[in-house]
Amino acid sequence: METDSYYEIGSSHKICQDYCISIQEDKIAYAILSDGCSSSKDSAIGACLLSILAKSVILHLKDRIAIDSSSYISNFSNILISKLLDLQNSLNVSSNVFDATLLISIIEKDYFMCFGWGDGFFISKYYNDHTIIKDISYYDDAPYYPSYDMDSSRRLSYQSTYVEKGFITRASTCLDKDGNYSFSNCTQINNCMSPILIANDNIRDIKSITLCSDGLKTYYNDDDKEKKKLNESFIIPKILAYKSTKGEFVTRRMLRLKKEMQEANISHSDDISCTTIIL
Amino acid sequence: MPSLMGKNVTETHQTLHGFNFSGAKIDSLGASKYTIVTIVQDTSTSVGNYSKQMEETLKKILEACKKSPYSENILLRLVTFNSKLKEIHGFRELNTIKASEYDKILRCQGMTALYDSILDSLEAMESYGKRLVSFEYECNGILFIITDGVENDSTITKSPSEIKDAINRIKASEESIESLISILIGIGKDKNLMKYLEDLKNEAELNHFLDMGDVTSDNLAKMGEFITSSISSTSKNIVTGSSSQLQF
Repeated sequence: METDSYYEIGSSHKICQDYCISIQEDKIAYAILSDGCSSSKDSAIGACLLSILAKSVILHLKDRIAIDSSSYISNFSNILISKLLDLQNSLNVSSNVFDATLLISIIEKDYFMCFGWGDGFFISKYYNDHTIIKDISYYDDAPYYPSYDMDSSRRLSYQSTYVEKGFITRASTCLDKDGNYSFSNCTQINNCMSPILIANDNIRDIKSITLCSDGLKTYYNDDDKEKKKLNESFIIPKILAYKSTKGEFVTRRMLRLKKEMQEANISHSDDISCTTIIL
Repeated sequence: MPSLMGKNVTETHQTLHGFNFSGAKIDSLGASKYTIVTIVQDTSTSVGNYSKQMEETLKKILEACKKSPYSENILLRLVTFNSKLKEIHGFRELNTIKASEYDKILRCQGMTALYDSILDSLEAMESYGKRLVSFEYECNGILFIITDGVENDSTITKSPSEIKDAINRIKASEESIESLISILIGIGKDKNLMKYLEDLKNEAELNHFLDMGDVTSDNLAKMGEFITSSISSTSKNIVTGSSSQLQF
């Protein structure tokens, strides 16, 4: 297996609030992505800390609970929130610092699972060169952050503002080996205040799994006066077109893509992050 | 014929003018950015007087570069030349090169195929650089040619203008390395030789000429430090996007 991660700042930001890591260790590989809320102070640091804490929880649960266990996500969540509260106390900061999405992919033995808090993309590429893209989006673009579980008043506020009104959308799109749409469907679940299961399956036919932040939706052509957003199906095949899959393969691809996009006068307004595990 | 460090981890190629070179297999390289470095060392008969000191200097350069924060982004090739060219090793990651590989490598006998050594190195960097870029690595390069003599035995390269053509080809290509610095280093106290080498640098449009002066421990140490810091500075530029200048 090979893993790599990459993040870069968007044109409308002063600092990059996306962060991601990916690690392959003995018997387990995982990728973690966190996208800080742009209106929350210091969420760039929060995104980084969340990712590191998530890593520690994964390692804590390794050999204790199998990832295909029905209690994995709830156990993960409980431990993470506990660690977040400890960290908040020791740093003496507001929970707003941790206003960030948190998406996690784990591969253990023959099984993978992707779950998390917040919006973003989960992309799986298969040996038949088909690509399935799952786009997770929240009502009113307001994802549920794990930080809301650190403060009951924030949790209640989110509940009254969003949960009773909206839903989470999981749009799945399949691209064939030529990048053409093959099928798409869309499921909606009630907006909830807990991590959601995004995908899980046997890894048998899978070539790679990738997590991306919702910054993929913010590419636009500089020459377009209206700055209309380009569809992510335009950019995703390019992100996955690795020339080789050794070492910093995601970084190489994204740096080259950045150059190609600059030459085509295409930018992205939000930060983007991308982390891939090659099986 | 280049020596191969291990068939499974290297690839070999031929350049435009038929020079052979080797390098680490592209798909084995882990970083996203590399500085490709070539050190070309004169091994004509006159160098025999200080070959041991020169070997020690090369070892010190290697060990010092390994300590650079950007050591993982450096690929080093070492070539020696007298009447013939010899690739001691191709473009390799520093952590795969042991200093002991530089023991007794400078067999100093023969004349000075200076032009061929420079063209060989430039074309190898051009070709390997193209390979790296085609696999989406970002890449710059730095070349050091260390000599104490004048050209008198090249068989392929007839004039400095062919070297200049190679440099211009690399500069013009969008498919090869982003930037290439070439430094001709003259060793010795012969002022006429230094004048010759400076003229060669100008005719061939190499970037810099450095007169290291007479062969003394101090001068060899300074040369080693200069080469090390130049490699480090060049690799810092590709890794961080900075544009620090070489310190002469």
